[in-house]
Amino acid sequence: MNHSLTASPVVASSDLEGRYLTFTLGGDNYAIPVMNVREIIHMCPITPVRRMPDYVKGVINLRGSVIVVIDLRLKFAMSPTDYNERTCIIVVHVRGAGGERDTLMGAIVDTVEEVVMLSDGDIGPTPDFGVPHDTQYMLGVSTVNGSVKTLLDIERIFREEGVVELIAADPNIANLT
Amino acid sequence: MMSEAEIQSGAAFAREAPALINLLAEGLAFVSPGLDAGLLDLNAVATDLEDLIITLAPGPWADGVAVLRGWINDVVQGDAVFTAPLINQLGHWHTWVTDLIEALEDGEPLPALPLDWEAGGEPTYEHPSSADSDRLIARDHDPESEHTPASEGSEITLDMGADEELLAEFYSESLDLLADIEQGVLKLEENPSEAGTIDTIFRAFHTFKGGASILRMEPVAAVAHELETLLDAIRKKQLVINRSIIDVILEGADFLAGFSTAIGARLQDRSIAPTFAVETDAIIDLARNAVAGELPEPSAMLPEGQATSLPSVAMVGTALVDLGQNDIGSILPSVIVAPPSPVSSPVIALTPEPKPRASAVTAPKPERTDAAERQDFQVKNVVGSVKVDTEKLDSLVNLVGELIIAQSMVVEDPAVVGLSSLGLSRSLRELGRVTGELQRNAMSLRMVPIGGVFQKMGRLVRDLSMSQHKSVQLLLEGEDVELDRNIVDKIGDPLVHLVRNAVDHGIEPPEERSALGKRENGTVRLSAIHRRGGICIRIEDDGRGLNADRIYAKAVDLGIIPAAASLTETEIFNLIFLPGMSTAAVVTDVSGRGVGMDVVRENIQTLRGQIEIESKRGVGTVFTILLPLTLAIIDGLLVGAGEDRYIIPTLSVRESFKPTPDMLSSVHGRSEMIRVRGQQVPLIRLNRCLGTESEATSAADGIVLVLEAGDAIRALQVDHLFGKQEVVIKNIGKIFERQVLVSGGAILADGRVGLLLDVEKLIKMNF
Amino acid sequence: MNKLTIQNRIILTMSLVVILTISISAYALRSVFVLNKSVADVAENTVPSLKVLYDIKSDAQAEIGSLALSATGISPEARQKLLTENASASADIEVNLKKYDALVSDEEDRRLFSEIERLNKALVASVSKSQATIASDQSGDYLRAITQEIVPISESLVAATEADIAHNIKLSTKSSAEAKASADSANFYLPFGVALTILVVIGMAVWLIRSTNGALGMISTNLGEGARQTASAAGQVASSSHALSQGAADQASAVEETSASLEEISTMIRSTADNARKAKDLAGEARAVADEGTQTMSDMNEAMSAIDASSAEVAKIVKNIDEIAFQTNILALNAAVEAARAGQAGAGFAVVADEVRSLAQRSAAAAKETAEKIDAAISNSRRGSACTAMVGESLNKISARIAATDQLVGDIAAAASEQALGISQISIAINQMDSISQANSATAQQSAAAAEQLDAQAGVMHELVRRLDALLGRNSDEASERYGHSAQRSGKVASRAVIRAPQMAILRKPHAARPAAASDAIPMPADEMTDGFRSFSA
Repeated sequence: MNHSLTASPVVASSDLEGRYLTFTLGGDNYAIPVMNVREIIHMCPITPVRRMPDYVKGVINLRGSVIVVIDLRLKFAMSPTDYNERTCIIVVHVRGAGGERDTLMGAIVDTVEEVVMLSDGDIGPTPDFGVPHDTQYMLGVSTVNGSVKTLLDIERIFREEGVVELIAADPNIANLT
Repeated sequence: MMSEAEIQSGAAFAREAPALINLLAEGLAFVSPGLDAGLLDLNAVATDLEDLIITLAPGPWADGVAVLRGWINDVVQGDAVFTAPLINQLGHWHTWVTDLIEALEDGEPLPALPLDWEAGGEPTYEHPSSADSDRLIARDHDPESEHTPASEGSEITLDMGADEELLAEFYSESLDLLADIEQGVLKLEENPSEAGTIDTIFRAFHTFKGGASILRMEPVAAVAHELETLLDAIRKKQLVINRSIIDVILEGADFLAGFSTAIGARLQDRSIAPTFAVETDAIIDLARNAVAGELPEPSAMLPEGQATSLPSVAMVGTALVDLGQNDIGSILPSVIVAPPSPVSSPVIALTPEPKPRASAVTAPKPERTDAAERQDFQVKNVVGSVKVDTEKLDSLVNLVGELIIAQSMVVEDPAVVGLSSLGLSRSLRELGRVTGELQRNAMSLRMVPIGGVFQKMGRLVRDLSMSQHKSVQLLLEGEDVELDRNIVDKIGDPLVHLVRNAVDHGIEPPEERSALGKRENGTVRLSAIHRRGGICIRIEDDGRGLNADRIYAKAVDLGIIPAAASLTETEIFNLIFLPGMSTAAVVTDVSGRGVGMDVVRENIQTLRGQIEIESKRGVGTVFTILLPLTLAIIDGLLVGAGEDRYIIPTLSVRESFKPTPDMLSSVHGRSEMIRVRGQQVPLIRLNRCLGTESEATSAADGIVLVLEAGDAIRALQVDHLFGKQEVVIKNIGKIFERQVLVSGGAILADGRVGLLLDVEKLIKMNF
Repeated sequence: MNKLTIQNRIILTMSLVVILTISISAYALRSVFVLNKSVADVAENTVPSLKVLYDIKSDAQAEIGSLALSATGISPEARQKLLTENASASADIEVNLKKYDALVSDEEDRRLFSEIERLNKALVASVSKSQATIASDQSGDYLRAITQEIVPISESLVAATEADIAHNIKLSTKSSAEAKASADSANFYLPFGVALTILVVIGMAVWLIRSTNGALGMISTNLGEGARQTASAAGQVASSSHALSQGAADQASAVEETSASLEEISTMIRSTADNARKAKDLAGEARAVADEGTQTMSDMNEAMSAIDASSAEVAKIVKNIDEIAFQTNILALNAAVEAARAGQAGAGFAVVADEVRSLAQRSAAAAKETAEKIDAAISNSRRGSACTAMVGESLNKISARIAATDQLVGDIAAAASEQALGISQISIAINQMDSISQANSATAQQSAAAAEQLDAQAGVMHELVRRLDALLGRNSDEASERYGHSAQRSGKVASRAVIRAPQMAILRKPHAARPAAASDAIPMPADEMTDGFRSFSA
């Protein structure tokens, strides 16, 4: 009954340890906390909503509720790509800010990878890119199994309007951290 | 012999009671000797009847109800099982009350209460100490003194074997109730004068107490009772809410929560000892202090009220004597106006911050809302004997909507269509019929008659006309028209404003009326009819009408319109819906109490409704409110623009047609106009608004819908008109708030999402 | 006079002599006739007539006498006797009357005779009427009948007979006079007539001899000249005929050669047509084989397509498996998400989800591998399919070529048969030419014969001229010399034409060989003509 019990704030900055869902966008790996994920669904017909920014692809029917779908590539100002059968929508649970109701939003990603357990030791701080890029959307960078994953604060990203400039962690950074 | 009030209350009883009596009959059908099944139902019926008597229909039948209450209390406090004689007696009671209602309807003398009932009922009075009779007593200290010894023991033993089901029910209900209380108290902190919240809390305690009594948990019931008493005092304006009172309420709630948790734990784990101790004294003292100690003045009023009520109901027993202040007021018309007036001033005094306009709204409200809420409460109980969370109802409706979509997807699936099986198609038809029925039923769950809201206006008009020394007659029509409960809840305020305006500013004083050659008593007509798939509420008065010149002058003064603007009368009238154009300041010279019509219109628009004005100087004013039947479901036209599909509320659509090129014209080669029934209407192309490609290059291609929003009429050109569809409106999220054209979404028959066009905004965007 | 032919002149002369002779003779004859007639008339008519008439007169008188006797009262028996006598007299009259009827000489005679007959009849009638009375009358009534009725009639009869006798006597007198006159004139005119005739004949004979002699001399001269010229023309004709004959012979030989060549060509064409037909048959067979090959190819193609389709089907299935694996993966992820959200309680489930996920990944990998294999199979099959398609195309091309060849061969066959037809037409034409050239040859031969004939005729004519000249008493040596020369030439011509004839006979096989006799050409035999001349000159 009480949603606040289940939607516990895993994204507490102090404690990043936990399970993450990893996915790819244009060859880069990203991870978001599993607690933010409601479910993963296949690409499905999207009803476009006009006069909205490009990254808002429209709305879909998720078992009777209408949820907004956002193309993360476009949201991150990456080049758009055609959707294929690997394209997935990650339904993300976004907690209401300022007393608003919690909402579900869909994030279109190239494909989802896996759910991994990341311990504190696996997660490094967000590297300083040396450029005044806003890194507030990144929780950190992880380098498990040799691959570099950028940990995203998906809720913040979704709450933010407009395109988010994001510099993905590339393999070189793994060496730095 | 019978006063008008008596006749009215009789009529009210005859109108409202049968539904309850039917429930009683249904309950009786299930009781059997030696079992407790149906006990809660009967108890609820009895409680509702009592409520009815208190709120709407006081009268001689009250003692009959008291007899019923006595019997039920006997059962509750006895073995908690029915006995054959009692069932028999209940059957007789049902016959009696049916006769009584028939007599009331026919205006015949009422049947006397059988004598043996009093005799049989006599023992019940030996246990008026029971929690349930206590709840009727506003400030009776005797029962409390009886409770006190019980609380001294303050040890509760749960009969896990016999009462398990009841306990489980009680537990789950108590959680909801406690949540309600908690939320209500929090709201109350922000807005102490919100009568609805107080009422909610009051009802929650009341229900809690009832449940506890049935389970023979007297200490808990006593605590609930004390808290209820406190709330009652608050809602009767005998107490003014302050922080300490809220603290008391919260503490009480916490206590009850602890108790509930204890029950819950025992329900989950049988190994825990069924007996546990509760400490009630502190809480009870606290509550009593809150009621009596801190505000002695209201308490002092009580004996008075008691005294007044006693002689008027001579033959009633002691339990019935202690009806609430309000009920006495209802019985005795002379007192009607009296209680609110003295009470209202301290409230205003206590809340000095609110704007005058707001206070004007809230000040008279508690009295009416109180009655209305009680009625709603009762109506709710009548409609379904199970109290259901509206959210659950909503989700049920949603699920049914999805079921229908799923059903249509199955039926229209090519694979299924390809199967030419007779049996299958029969089954599918059957499925369609059942789902359709289910949807109608689910929808009807939310529907309540608008009559309740209308009846609130009766009191309002009476009060207003008396205070202003006007003679006003209120005519109600279409009270049985049903509307979504949410709408009924929310339409009350705008209606109050409009009716108030009609009486305050519309209807002239009698002298003026007779001077004008009108009948001395003015008429305010409130009617509801079905129209265009929604309902149409009209508030008509035969007063002086709107003064277009004044409105115009005022608007010019305020700089809303340029001085030389040429407006039609309708356009001028519509100016009163703009913020700042206070009706009081404009329509009449009576200053002060008017509420901005902008708020009215806003409220109506939140309900996806529309409001229109017609007025004629010296003849009267008509406000027409068009409302959808429900908020969750909308009757919409499905249109296509390019590849997109949109839903346009049918309420906003006046007509649709296929245009011919000769109907079109363009102004300055840019803005297009279309001639509709001799009128030039601006043409909006949906594709251009949305920035999508249109299949239709010329405006003559496609379909034109004539949209109405307020006074504005626009023609909207779309590519296709797919048909009319009832859709369940879904919120599409905050992200689209800035998207001006879409106000919601809906799942269409093919499972995809259709977007609901916001007609108002669409029209505003272009002009 | 000069215009008259010799015949006419002779006829004219002779006619004059005859006319004169006849005129004299006729005159003499007429005189004789008239004389004769008058004599005959008297002898043969007048005399018998008179005798008859006298008989009648005597009978009639006898009758009157008998009657008159009867009237004298004699007995009935006598009367009966008298009557019988009367009747025989009447019969005599009747016989004489009939005799006279043939001797009536002229109208007057006829009238008179008719009167006699009428009276005789009346007499007979009256006698027969009165006969009974006479015979039976015992009284005298018969007397009155005889006297009053019969006697007058008998008397009239006698009178009439006498009149006629007189007439006949008058006639005989007249005839005697006529005979006398005729004899007198003949004696006067006949000597003059004979003298005139002799004079005329002498004159005409002189005129005739003079005129005929001149004309014939001129004709003889001209005729001689004409004969000479004819002889020369005949020589020329003979020469031409020889040339023509030579040409026709050459032509015939050429035609023969052509015909032979044509025969050869025809044979060759037949053989060509035969070959073409064979080639056509062969082409058809080749085509059938090629078609069969194409069919086989398309079958093979179908099989390839089927392989392709089933490969695609398998690929689809593999894709499905992959899809399912992916979905399972998603499902496993969802399960992992749920497990994670469930915290510690979901830990066990997370393991399961992981397992499921790894299974899904393995099946995805397997699907991928299968897909690769299938892809390889598909590409092989496609390559095979492509090869098949190419072979099929080649076969199709071959088939098309064969069809074209077939067509060409057919055309050739058709052309050959057309050629054969043409050749046969040419053959016909050559045959016609052959017959024409044979006809030409015959004509030439005939011309030669005619020329020879002509030459002979010219010789005859020369002879005639010579004879005519002899008749006319003119010298004709010069003409004779010329004729001899031409006759020599003509003989040479004839001999050559005859030599060629057998050669030509070979050429005109189709036609029945007809011996070309020179006599055929000139129907009139030369000796007849000579006879004519001879008789003329005689």
